Amino acid sequence: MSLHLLSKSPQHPAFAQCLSALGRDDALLLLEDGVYALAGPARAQLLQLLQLGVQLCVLAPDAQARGLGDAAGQEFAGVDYAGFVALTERRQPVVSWF
Amino acid sequence: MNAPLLFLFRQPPAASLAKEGLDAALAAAAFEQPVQLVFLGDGVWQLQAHMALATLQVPALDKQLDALPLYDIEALYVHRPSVSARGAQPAVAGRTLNWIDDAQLQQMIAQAKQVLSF
Repeated sequence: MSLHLLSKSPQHPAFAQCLSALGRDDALLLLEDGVYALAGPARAQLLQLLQLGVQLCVLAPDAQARGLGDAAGQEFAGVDYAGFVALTERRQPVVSWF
Repeated sequence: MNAPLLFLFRQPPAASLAKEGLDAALAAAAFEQPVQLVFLGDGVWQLQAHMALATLQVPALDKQLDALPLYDIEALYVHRPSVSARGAQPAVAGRTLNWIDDAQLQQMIAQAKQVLSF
């Protein structure tokens, strides 16, 4: 049960590569510019991951800083920095897509 | 066997991270850590046949790849969708490449002790 950290926006190659590598019951955390995936067509792509049992999370301070503080909706769990650390403790390995 | 350290190479060969990643993998292997090298995204260009990287005045990764067996690194895993999307032609003299798809990539990640991305 891996944790994938996506820190680039949907147009960046890291976005598609991360989606290729996500497996059943993994967790995905959007942070830095990755939070832009909360908006637009990229959101729908990420919601499909729910069918794989993927846990969708977003680093709330990064979303707020970018004007997407209200964009998480029901499907994305907002976490703060403590929550981020907790995620890394619970899931191995951690894969960073940048 | 210990769960391996999985190295993901995602940059083309002239990028600075390409050399750093290979150096890190060789260091881990020198300390007898089990390592797996996966080339995906633009990283598949690091295995392109007939490179002459020295002419770019960047480190000659193509030569370093030849040294991998000395570190007991036999397998090179190549992400087939990345190669198809780019029209790349990976080949390493005297080596068989291990082709993987998305499902196999997910499995390799799930089974790794740590994943290091370059």
